[in-house]
Amino acid sequence: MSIATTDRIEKTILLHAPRARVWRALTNADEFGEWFGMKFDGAFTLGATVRGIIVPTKVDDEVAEKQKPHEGFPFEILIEQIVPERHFSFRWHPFAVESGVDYSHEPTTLVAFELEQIGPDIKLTVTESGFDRIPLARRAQAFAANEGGWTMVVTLIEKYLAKNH
Amino acid sequence: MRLVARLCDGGPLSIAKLTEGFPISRQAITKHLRVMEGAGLVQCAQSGRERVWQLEPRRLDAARRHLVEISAQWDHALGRLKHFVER
Repeated sequence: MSIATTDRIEKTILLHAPRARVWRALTNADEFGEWFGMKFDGAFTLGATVRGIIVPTKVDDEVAEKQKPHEGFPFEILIEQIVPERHFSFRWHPFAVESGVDYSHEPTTLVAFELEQIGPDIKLTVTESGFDRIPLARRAQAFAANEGGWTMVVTLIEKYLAKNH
Repeated sequence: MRLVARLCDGGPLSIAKLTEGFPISRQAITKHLRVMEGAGLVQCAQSGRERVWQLEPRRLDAARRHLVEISAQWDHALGRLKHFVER
């Protein structure tokens, strides 16, 4: 990611698993919550607003430890599009990190997952776009509120920058 | 964002200079500046009889870095997904 690109994040990963398995991990709310570190109060159905809270992930102890301070933090996702086993997308508030702030009237970003068969593997592409619609002031506020979290992941970012520059 | 661009190009500017050419009122611009000041993005200083506004570059950089952080969080999340579906 070039530093000049401020609207969009795009990631791809190759998953050695059947398409149906990947699809379930993305669109079954319980499974999504298990690897991402959230707990949802409903199923992911088209057009649904699903409420969730942050719970430490069960698949990585180190990350779970980092998520602990945010445990119980509430948020919402709005299911935007479902094309079975190919495309899944939702909207959320990317900088909603301050408790007691109502984010419902602020712009959202769109998170989209695309599945593509590459031989026996699934190429998964995730994009998060629409950051430019979020007021710069909000980004900076969220950053300041999250500065503790920032310190924790600083090593990761250093690695990320080393890889991308 | 055009306010930010003008502050970038012109350095510290008075409200009169800042509003030149914008089709919105000085009050509206001041309101924007106050919000940005609240977020630590700009600073207001007294220069003689005038108040001048300037960028706080460290905070602007912080806003950009936030995206890098979100990017790193996605790297992490996808790593966990890989572990989850391949186990």
